[in-house]
Amino acid sequence: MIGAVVVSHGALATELVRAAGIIVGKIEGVVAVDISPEMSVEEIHDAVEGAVRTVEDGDGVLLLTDMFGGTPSNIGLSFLGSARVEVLTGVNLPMMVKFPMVREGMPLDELARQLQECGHRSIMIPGDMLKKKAEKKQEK
Amino acid sequence: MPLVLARIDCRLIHGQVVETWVPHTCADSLIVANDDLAGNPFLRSVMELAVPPGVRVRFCRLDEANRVLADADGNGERSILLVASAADAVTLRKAGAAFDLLNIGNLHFSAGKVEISPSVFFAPEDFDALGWLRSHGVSVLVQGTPFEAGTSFDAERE
Repeated sequence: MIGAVVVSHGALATELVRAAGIIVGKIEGVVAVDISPEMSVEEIHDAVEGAVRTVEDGDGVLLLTDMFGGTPSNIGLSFLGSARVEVLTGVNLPMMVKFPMVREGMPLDELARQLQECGHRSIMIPGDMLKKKAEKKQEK
Repeated sequence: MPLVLARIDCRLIHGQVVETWVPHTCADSLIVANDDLAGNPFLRSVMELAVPPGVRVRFCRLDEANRVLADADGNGERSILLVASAADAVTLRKAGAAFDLLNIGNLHFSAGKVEISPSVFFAPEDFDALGWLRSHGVSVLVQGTPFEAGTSFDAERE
């Protein structure tokens, strides 16, 4: 089973995992790493490394970071190429919810791509969608 | 095709239903029987936005539900029936809706209610309604998502 480590500024990681659990139930094989301002780069690296080791069972680990270019992401990138790790940046709640639903039997790189797409698609302006729907109805 | 799920959920269509029950049951149809929503086109279209393409959504009043259920059945659809309360489930069952297993996902808290699970709280009238359903051959299971074990209503009574 592919594991996941969610790494974020502040307590976002812990809360994202908790929030996803409310929707899809407790997610197995997920560890959250919250990064606080006083932590050194070494401390952060060790925390992520420990988390990866906790959830790694041979199928690989997805590192979900909160923002490309931020410290959690930069340190996450340092794990690329080491073990079987893929990094996905800009994690949001729809991606967290999708993760346990689609990971079964999927290779790590394919899972990362699917979740990326899910994250992209989940950002919308519902007001625009409703307007378009109303226009379509009028045309009919 | 009989119903793949009948569920009481005060939130009706939301994340748990769309993300877990729809894929778990391979449903291609959602039937929401709710008098308030049936009369509110705006809320209906907002709720519809979250449903993935390929899943048909129908909103109907409680007294229309049987016709809609029969229509979905005739089309061979794999339908999930959603109602907002135990009382509504009783109304549908009395009208002849065919479900022998009733899932309870969310019934929000308010004063005087008994906690059954973190997301399900029963008022005294809920116990009565569910008791009635049970005595008419319906098994009641409190289960938020398909991955939880679920608690049967019988156990809760004792």
